Amino acid sequence: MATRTIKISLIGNPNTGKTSVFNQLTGLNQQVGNYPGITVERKQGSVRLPGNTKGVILDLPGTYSLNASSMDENVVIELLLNRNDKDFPDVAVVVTDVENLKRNLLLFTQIKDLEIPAILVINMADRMERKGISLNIPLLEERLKTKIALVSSRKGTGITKLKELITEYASLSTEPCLNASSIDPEYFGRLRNAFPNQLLYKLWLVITQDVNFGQLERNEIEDSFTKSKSELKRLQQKETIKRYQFINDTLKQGMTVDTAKAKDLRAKLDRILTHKIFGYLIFFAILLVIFQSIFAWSSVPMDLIDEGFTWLSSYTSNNLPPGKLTELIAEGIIPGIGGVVIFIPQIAFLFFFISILEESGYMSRVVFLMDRIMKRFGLSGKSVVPLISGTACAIPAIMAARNIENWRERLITILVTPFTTCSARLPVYAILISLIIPQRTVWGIFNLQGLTLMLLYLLGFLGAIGAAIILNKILKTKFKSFFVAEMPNYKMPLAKNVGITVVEKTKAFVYGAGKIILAISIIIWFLGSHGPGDKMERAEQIITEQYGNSLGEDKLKDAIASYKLENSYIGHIGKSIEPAIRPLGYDWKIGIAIVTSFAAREVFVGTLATIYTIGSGADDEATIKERMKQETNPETGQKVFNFATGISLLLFYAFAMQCMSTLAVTKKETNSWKWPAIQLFSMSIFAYLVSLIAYQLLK
Amino acid sequence: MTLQEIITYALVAVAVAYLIKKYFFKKKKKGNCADDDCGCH
Repeated sequence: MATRTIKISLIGNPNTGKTSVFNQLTGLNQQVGNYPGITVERKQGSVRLPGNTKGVILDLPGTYSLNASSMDENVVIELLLNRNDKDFPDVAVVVTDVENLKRNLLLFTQIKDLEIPAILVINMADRMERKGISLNIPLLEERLKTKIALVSSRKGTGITKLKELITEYASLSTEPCLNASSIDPEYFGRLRNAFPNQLLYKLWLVITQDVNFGQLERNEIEDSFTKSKSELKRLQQKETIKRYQFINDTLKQGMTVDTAKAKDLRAKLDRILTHKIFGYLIFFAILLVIFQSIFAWSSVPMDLIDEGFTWLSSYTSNNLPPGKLTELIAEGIIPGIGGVVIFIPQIAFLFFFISILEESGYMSRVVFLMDRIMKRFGLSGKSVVPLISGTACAIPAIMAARNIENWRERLITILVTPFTTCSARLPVYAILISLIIPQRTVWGIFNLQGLTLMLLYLLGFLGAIGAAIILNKILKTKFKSFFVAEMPNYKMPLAKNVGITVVEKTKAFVYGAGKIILAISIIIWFLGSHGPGDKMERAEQIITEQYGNSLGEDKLKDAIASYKLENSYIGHIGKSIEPAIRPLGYDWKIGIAIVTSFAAREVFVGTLATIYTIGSGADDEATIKERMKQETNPETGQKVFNFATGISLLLFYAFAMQCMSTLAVTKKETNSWKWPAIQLFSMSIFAYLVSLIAYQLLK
Repeated sequence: MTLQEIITYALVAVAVAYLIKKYFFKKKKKGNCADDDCGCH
């Protein structure tokens, strides 16, 4: 029997638990978040429905209404207005929050007026009793001309009923909630006469939005039905008032709230957490705990992983048949992969904490808090979302800037977001901090390494703010957009959602970075084991002749390995760039790591691990950290990774634009090579200068 | 040339090809970052 397929669009206001409903329906592992703009692009999944039916679900970006003011809201409207779109839904599933039903129903009534079969999902039903809310579902269904699924996406209740309703979507009424003509009978009458075959509310949306659909072009309508902007705004306001009148009447009969039962813990918590002094102090304290824990908790598993890979490299070298492939595995692939895997504990802990902050509803309060600061520096309140999500990765963060309506504010946000400390910087910071900052407790409770890490995160944020101030002066932003965000309810984070986030993010880090690091490790090994001329082949002879028997066996091996590395292709490349980086305190090996980490910052550690493994005796069993610690400058005899070089490198990675993918996304989002070029050169020059000053002062 | 050398040089060629493909012939991506390899690392 053939399987029937139903196309479903999941639509709703931000923070209604839409993504959680999507997860419940599809079982796909996705991030569940609380702050606006999390669903920047469409997500798709499939669900098995009753009666040999398959549902294909599109999770559309969160939107408050069909009056689009940002790019991601346009995605929803363009789809719903275009019946020829391959993704046009057979049924729209509109997700609402039981505590914000009044506001959420505005979008629902608009979708109903497009005469698309729509199911109303009232989510967070598990909170009804606690909040003293009771609903008359049959009455609401009758007034809203739909079917309702009372769902708790957190507890997974009501999902079966929702699946049944989706299967029976053909029986849903497509009768609109509001008669569009009532907005302006004369105007809409003329519109109907001019386009008798078109849906009236659809025409109205095309007139008021900046979108086209199907064969009906906007210009065609505009010629005879253009109204002044102020007149259109007036009519839109009239429409909104009429919708709220209808919603109020409906809820007056279909919903009761026992205020005596409704506990006001949320208001009390909000007063403290968003307080203009305590709010920042609490946020600062939370950050402190997070960064302390990242260092304290992950040190044991990290050491175990490091030792494990070192043992594996040594074991492979000693037990596999000698030859090129064995050398590649032992000196290239294993140390390279080890350079990624070692950071899994820290990445997992970072996302564990971020996920808890998002899940609990606290992150939205942070966004609100930071908005106050942002405005002072010429950024949009909405810039907070990209800047905070940039702590994970700058790519989705830059894409989240689509939420900002004003082009100049959006551009500034795109240009400064890469300053935010992304997860790719964490491995670089972690290894350098552990090398140059002693593991000491300060003021009785704080780990000095954790404090340094936190300082670097703050430095990234300050870098973004500083750059925004300069760009704001250069680009002269005249218009400001305003940040309107709702505060979701506080919730106990669900272990399942937190777990999914940690696993998904860690997986993305390991697989995403891992493939590149593996490829680069192989190439670095090749370039480090082969070289021009015959010096590589004659290395043993040259060194033996030079030193005779004055060196012990181990030291002789090291000297040969070191000579080979210096005369390899990578040695030649490194030496050629060394003059440019020497004033920053870096040798040619660090230079190579900086060049390769332009593909992705975390490649830095993997590259050094490979270089140092090639450049040491084959039976050397030192870990990556130990090798970096032992590395000495052959000319000065001093440690390469001393305090001055370490700080210089930390500052370089804090400010340099070391990410090709971010540049590609900036190009895509600004539609020009000019902005990524400015981003690359200004950030790199700034990083170079700051690192240079730091090294020259500290050396 | 030994078998080990052949496999090694083949792996080096694959690694170079992979990086060229990733950064110079990037395919259009669907879905969200962090769901899979989003090209951000």
